[in-house]
Amino acid sequence: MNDLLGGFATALTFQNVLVCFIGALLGTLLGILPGIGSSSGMALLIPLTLTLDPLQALILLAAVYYGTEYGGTVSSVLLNTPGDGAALVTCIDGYPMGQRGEAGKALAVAAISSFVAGTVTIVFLSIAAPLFAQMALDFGPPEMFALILLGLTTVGGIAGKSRRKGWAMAAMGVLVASVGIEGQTGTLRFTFGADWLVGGIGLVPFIIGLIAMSELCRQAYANRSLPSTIVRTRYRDMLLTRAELGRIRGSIARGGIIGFLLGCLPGAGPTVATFICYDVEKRAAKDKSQFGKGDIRGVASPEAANNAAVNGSFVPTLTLGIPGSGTTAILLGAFVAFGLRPGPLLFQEQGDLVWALIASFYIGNVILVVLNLPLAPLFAKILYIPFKYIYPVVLPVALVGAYAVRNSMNDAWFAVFFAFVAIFLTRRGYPPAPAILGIVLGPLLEGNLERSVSMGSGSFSIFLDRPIALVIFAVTAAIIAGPLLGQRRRRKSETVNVS
Amino acid sequence: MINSDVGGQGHTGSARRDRIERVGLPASMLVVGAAAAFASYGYGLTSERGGIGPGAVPFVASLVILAEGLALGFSQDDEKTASPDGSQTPGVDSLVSNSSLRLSLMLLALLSVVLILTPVVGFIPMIIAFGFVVGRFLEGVTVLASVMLGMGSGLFIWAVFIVLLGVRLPAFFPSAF
Repeated sequence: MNDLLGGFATALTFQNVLVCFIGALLGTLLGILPGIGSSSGMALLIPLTLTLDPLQALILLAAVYYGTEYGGTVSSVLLNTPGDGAALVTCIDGYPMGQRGEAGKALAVAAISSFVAGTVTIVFLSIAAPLFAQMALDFGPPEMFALILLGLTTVGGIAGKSRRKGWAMAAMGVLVASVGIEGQTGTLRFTFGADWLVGGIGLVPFIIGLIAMSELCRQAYANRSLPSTIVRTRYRDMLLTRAELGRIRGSIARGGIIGFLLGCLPGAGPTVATFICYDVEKRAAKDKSQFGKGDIRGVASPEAANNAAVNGSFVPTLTLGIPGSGTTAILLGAFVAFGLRPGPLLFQEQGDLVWALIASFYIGNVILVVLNLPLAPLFAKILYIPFKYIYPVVLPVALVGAYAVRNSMNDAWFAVFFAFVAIFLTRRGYPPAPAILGIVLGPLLEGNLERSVSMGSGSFSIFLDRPIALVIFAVTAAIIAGPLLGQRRRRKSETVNVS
Repeated sequence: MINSDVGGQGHTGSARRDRIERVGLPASMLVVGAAAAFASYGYGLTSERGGIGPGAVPFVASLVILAEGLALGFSQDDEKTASPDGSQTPGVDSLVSNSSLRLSLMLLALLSVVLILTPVVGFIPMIIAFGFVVGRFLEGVTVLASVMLGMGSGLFIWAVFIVLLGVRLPAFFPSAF
C-alpha cells in the first residue's frame, strides 16, 4: 500500500499527469482511426519518447495503450469498423444502436464500462503483480529459461488459428536478435563481413517496420472502402437512465473479472477476452433476443473485458517479462529500449518506477472517462478526415522515427526492409507481434540457457534438479502437444463417423 | 489512383501472383532457415568449456523456420491476413487483394527513393516530394491538395523531430554543407 501511495506521489506531479493526458488523448485519437490500432500507435510513438525520462515515456505509452481501447469503440459504433482488434465485438451491438439513433448511448455505455472495469482491475493488478513478482524472485537461470521458453510458446495464442505461424515468427525474432556480436564469446554472427551489421539490428526500427509501416501500407488500401456514411451522435444522447445503468451492472462485473483473468494469460490479450466475454454475456442473459440488434449489454461486457484484459496483460509483462498481448510485447520492447528489464527483479530494482507507472493507470483511467464521456462526439469528427490524407503524413514519421533512434540511415533501411517482409508474411496469416517477442526475449533466453548449463558444469541435467523449471517445461509441452492431440482425436472421430 | 483487379485478365494475373506467393513463401523460409542453420552450425553449437556455443540458439530458431517452410510447402494453407496483434479484422480480409499489395509495395518503393536521395537532397524536401507524389499519383487528389499534403508532412516532421525533439536530421541538402 505504501509503495502504491509513493507511486501516486510520483505520478501526480504536473509533468507526469500532463504526459499521461497527452498519451490518453493520442491513444483515443489513434484508436478512433481505423487502421492505426494500439500496436501500430505504440510502435510509431516509441522513437518520439526516447528523449523523455523512462518513467514519463512508459506512462505515455501505457496511456496510449488503454486510450486506444477507449477510442477503438468510437469507430465501431459510428462506422461499424473497429479502430482496434479489441473493439471488434463492440460492432455487433454498438453499430445497430448507432443506426437506431442511440450512438451517444452506446458510447456512454462503453466509456462507463471501460472506466469501472478498468479502475477495479487496476486494484487487482496492484495486488496480483507484487505477489507474482515475489513468487518469481526465487527463480534462478534454469527457471527463467523455462519461463522465457514458455513465453515464446504461448505466442501461438497471439497467432490466432495457427499457433505454428506464431512460433515461426517468434523464431524469426530470435534469429534477428542474434545478428551482430554475441555477448559471451564476442563471436560475430550473421554479419557476413558487413560492418553495418556488427551493431546488430535495432529493436525500434524492427518494431516500426514490422508493425507500424507494414500496417499503414496495408490500411492505406483497406481504408479506401470504408463506408462514407458515419452515424451522427449528439452530447445529449449520452445520458443513461437508472434502469439502463442497472441493466449493465452485471455485464460490467462479468466482463471485468473474466477479462482480467484472460488478460493475465500470456498470449491471450484483450481481443480474445472480448469475444469470450460477449459469448458469456449472451449465455448469461435471460432475454437473448436483442443481442446483435443493439443490446447495451453487448456493448458493456466486451468494453469492460477489453480494458480489464489490458490491465491483466500487465501482470505477466511486469512481473515475469512475458507479454500478455501483442501490444504489451511492443511495450516490453520499449522497456528494453530504455534499458529496463521487466521481470521478477523489476519490482525490487525499479520499484519506484513500477508503482508510479501503476498509479498512472488509475490517473489515466480518470482522464479517459472525463475526456470520453463528454467529448466522444467531438473526437468522432476525426473520422471525417479521409485516411488518404493521414497515412502520407504518418508513414514518413515512422521512417524518420526509425532513423532518429541512433541517427542512422541503416536503421531507416532496416525499417523499410522489415515492412516489406511483414507485408508478405501478414498476407499469409503470419502475425508480426510474436517476432517482437522473439527479438526481445531471444537474448534473455540465450543468456539464461548459458548460465544454466554453466551451473550444471556443462550439463543440461541441471534442469532435472529444478522442480519449478520442470513444471514450467511440462506446461510448455502441454501447450505444444495439446492442440496436436486434440486435432488427432478429432480426425480419428471423423474417420470413425465416415466409416 | 490504383484500381482493384476487375475482369478475367485481372483474375488470371492475381491467380498467378497468388501461386507465386504460395510457392515463394515456403521456398524463402526453407532457404533462410537452411542458410541460418548452416551458418549457426559454423559458429559452434557447443563451447570449448562444454557449455552451449554461440550458434546453439540461432540453430534451434533456424530449425523452427525450416520446419515451418516444410510444413507450409506440404499444406494447403488458406489462412490470410493477420493484424499486428494477431486478431482478424472484419472487412479487412476481403479487402486484402493484389491491389492492396501493389499499393503497399509502391509506398515502400517510394520510401526507399526517399532514403536513397536523402543524403543528397535532405529528409524534409524528400518527404514533401513523397507527400505530393502519394497524394497526386497514388490517391488521385488535386494538385493543390497534394502540394498541401507534401508541405504538411514536411512541416510536421520538421516541427516534431527537429524543433520539439532536437533530433539531428540531415534535413536540407546535407551534401551541400
